[in-house]
Amino acid sequence: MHKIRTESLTGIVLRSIPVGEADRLVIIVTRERGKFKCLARGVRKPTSKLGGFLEPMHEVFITVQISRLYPIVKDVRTIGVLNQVSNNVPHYLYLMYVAELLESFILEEETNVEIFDLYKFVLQIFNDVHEVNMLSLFFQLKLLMLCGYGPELSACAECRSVLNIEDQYFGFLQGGIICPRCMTEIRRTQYSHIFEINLQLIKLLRLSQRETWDKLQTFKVNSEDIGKSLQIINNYITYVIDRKLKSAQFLKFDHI
Amino acid sequence: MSNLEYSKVQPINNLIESFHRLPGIGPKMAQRLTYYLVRMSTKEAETLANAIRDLKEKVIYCSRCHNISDINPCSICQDTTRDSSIICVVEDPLDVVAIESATVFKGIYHVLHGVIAPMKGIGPEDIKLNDLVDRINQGNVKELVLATNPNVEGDATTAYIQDLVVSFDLKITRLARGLPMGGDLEYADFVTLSRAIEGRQVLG
Repeated sequence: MHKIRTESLTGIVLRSIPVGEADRLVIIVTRERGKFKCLARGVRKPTSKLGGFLEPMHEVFITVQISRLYPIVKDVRTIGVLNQVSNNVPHYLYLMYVAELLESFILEEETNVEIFDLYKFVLQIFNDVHEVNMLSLFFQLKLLMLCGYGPELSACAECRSVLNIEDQYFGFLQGGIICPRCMTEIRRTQYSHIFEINLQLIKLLRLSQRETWDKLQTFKVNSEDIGKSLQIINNYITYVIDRKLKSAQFLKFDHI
Repeated sequence: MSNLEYSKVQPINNLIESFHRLPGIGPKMAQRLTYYLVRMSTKEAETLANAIRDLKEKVIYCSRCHNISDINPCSICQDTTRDSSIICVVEDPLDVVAIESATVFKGIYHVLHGVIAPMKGIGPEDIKLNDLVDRINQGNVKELVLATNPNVEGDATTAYIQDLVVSFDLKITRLARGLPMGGDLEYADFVTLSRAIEGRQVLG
């Protein structure tokens, strides 16, 4: 007799896409299997017993039946609603950007518990954070690190020499800071991917990359610097993933 | 356009590709529909072709509510028996059909043609929100019923509209949330149950 194969996973719903008559393709970041896509049948009908469990930012325990195309959702239980931002539009726009960013970086079938925990942490503390841009910078740099795209901020990404106390450059192609000496040797065609960066911003990027959120909060940081740093990292991310995130256009990095 | 060749007969290929572009229709279904049409009588096929042509030639968007109609303003906006001081804001024209089928709402509509969905690149400027504000500005509107879908995107759009019209002297309501008819309480999810409890009503 043919045995039905099921699998149970813990994850956070990133988003869902309507498909067919009343179904949804649900994209989840899971603890066990990285990005996971599954089909939830009939969930757009008001009488569906699963629909309400599969909203974005819900941490769920999900059981799926493995099928030829997409696994089919058989059962879902809510572990917790990590954030309910839908009545705060700027926060909603921000968290949708975070979700899209995560979806672009994580791969299917690639377990990364640290990324899962990072996303969960950001969702949990988001509403209580005073400086949302700081949290966004923290999240983006940590995500880049965990995915192997963390920018080089301690030495020159070209010559590997220790950086002098002077303003530097940030090169997307080089993946980090470029010292003024190396900058003179870089071809003009690459200039559109290089930005000037002052010491204050480098320090802020380093702290955001290295420190924990609790420690980061103990530093006094200028919100203008956070906005500038965020813009650099956002452009770097666009360069890394080779496309502009759709939700990025609705964010204002200078104030929120 | 797909380069797949479904058949050696070009008109069949073209129709399969056209059907395949429709939402929810895969290549197999597109093939089935096409071969069904091949077997159909010429008269039936002409009726279908004329219906599609009429749809594109005669169906327009109402200049007031943006609902689909064959006249402008649409029959609902023109209906003097309806209460034009109550506007029900919905996501798309199918929602108008659903609410009308309930036969309890006697106001008029405003169709947004979407919701704020940042991950799809849809922002407030991309839906018919400015026209809604214009309608409110013209006066006579006393109540706005926000009837977006009960999900994160629908709720965010509701919140945005609420902020947008807060300066107007308006009653802003939204559809009740809670348990569906025929559903079992034990299967209700956390959000639905919490909203059902929040929105509980006094009996008697």
